[in-house]
Amino acid sequence: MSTNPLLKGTLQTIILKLLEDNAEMYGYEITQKVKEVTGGGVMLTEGALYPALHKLEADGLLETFTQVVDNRVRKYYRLTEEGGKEVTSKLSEAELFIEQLQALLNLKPTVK
Amino acid sequence: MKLSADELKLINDHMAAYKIKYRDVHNEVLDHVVSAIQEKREAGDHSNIELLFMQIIEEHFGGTEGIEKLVAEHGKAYTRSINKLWMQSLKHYLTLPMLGFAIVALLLSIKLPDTNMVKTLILVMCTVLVCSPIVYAHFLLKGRVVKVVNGNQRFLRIHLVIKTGTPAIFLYLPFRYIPHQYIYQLPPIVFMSIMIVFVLLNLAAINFCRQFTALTPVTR
Repeated sequence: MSTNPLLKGTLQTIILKLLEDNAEMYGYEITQKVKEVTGGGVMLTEGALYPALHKLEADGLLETFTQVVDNRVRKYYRLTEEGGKEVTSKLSEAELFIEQLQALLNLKPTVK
Repeated sequence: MKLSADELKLINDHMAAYKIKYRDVHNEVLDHVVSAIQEKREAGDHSNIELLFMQIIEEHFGGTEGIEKLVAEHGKAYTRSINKLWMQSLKHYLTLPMLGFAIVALLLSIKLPDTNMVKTLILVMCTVLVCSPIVYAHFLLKGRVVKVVNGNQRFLRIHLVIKTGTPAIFLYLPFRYIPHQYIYQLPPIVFMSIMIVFVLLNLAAINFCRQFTALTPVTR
């Protein structure tokens, strides 16, 4: 399973947005959600997803809690207050980047 | 579709082979693998459990190499957060009152008698200041650390020892290589300056421990 290289820079934004919409999620659930939303067009590699989750947690943007499910420990992630604020700024950054990319690739005429 | 107890045991045994040193990463990978296998079974794939396990590990995590990388990345992220916490603790005490205290202490040290006994006393106090955060951390975090950081407790002690122990090495080295009579010729103000640094490190280390324990995640 491979991640589209174009996604690399936006992985944290995707995670934060998903957690804003879904309150709390676990790793596998996130990969499945991305697959479902994009109709299988975007696949997240676990090798990229988990380090990103751990980094966001270390940076204080996510907090975790565990729950025992079928005799195994499941780690859930959710936004911290700081993470909640970060979503808006990350989304704005992503929107701006997409607009600039569209202009660069001539996918959309520049607004004058 | 839930896996049988035998199948889960087999997965656990296979997982143990990867020797993932962080318990939370181990649990996370295990949960991911089991969830993925369950989904495959629900989709009608009734292949052998070992085959499914290997497929998931290879396809999702990039095999042994991928898991090793994941563990290394986790270690880096955790170390970064600990360093951030340490810097916050240090900055917490780099204040004007602390500067005032340092100035007063240095001024008072000018009045101290220039004797070996005074200097030895200051050095003993430095030693106490270096050791006390480690003792404090030991008792404060006893029985709590594993719950808080899910297996990362060794990091805290390593970081505490490094952060408070490095200046102690600088204190120890001159005594190791320079004859004591030369060191004791230095005025008390030099000894006092060293002690102020250790006071700062001591306070920062204690604050670091307190902040660390406050990071307890919500549990269910």
